[in-house]
Amino acid sequence: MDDPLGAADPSDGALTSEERAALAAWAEHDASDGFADAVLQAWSVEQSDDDQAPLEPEEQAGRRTSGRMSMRSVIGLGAAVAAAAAVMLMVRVAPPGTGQAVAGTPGCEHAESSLRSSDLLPSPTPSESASLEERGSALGDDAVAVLARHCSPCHDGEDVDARARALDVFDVQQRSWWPGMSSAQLTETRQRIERLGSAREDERRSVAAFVDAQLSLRAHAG
Amino acid sequence: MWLGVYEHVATMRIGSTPSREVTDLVLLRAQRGEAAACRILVRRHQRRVVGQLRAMLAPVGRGGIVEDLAQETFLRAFRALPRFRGDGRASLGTWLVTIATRVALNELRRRPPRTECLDTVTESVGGAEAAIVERHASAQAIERAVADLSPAYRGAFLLRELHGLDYGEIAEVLQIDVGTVKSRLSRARAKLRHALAEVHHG
Repeated sequence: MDDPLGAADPSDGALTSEERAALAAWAEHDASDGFADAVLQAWSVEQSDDDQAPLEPEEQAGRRTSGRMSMRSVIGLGAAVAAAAAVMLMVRVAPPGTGQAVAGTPGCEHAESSLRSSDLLPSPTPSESASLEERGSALGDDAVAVLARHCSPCHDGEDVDARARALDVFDVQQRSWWPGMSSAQLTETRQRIERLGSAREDERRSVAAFVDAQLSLRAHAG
Repeated sequence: MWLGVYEHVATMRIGSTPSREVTDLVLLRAQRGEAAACRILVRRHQRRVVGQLRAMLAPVGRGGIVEDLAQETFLRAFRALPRFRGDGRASLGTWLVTIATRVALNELRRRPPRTECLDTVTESVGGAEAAIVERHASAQAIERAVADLSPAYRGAFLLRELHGLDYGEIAEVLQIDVGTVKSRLSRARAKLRHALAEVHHG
């Protein structure tokens, strides 16, 4: 609870001009040379990428928009490229009829390079369908809490900084936020949370459990 | 060509006080997405934004992420700029500072500050930032006092004392009521005053 001290008349505690000057001097700090150029460069990159980034966890967005890539970003990018190459190789070598390649999914640039997890999961029996649906909905509540924490503001429809194309994929403010997502987008969401350095292990498990449940349900529904 | 001359003229005025007409023109052009105008806005407000972020992330800006977050602040502002309805330079500056404050609070939520004594921090930062810390004992005292405040208290305190927002504006930014703003300010001021008194009176 807040200390009510001074709440009735805040002017009693107002800083003196000397105190305020000392505070201002302490806080005085400018950006380095070239900061404005770096911002503009990042803005330009963001605008050109906007059509290609429907899913954007906040940490990833922050790193991508930075004009100077950190070593962690470089390693992450390298890992992502390697993973994409491996997936493409797997798709190419998969025997005909295994159905592991995903047809292009509008609005998600990762669709063509993602595996459909549902193809790799056993289909539930009809009797399991109802319980899966209930379980999926409950898991969805847990998962959206994780996404709200890591994917806002881009995917938060109530945030002024939300991005239209991100909201087209999902909006954490929606009670049912996943039915419009393709299986590839769900899979990509799980993968992004798995890669996210700031996500806790229980958060990763929560999203993975939800995505697996949804994919199983979809596989069963055909 | 036009933009180059325009930017030069506008930039020349940044050091002094640009006229209301120039300020509004820059804002209008930035809202239309013109890069030159966006650059002018960044240059004009970067000191204020970086100062707020550095203060919010005390001690000493938490190891060099200040400019990354400043960049994120401006990018958020650019995304929302077409919807911004301000009435001049002051309100745009205030708006940017409120965005910077929210960015800083998000960062502090995601990565809560470690409890470190200032001496340790001073040893671990680079020369320029360490020099700022060491330059004056009062700066150290302020740094320590602000670092001791919880993020919510810092936000209210800095928005009021550094940027002059009124209680209602602070309440809106931090999504708290005005009474809470006042009580947070009172406690934060008392802490700062106590820290400065210790420096001045031994």
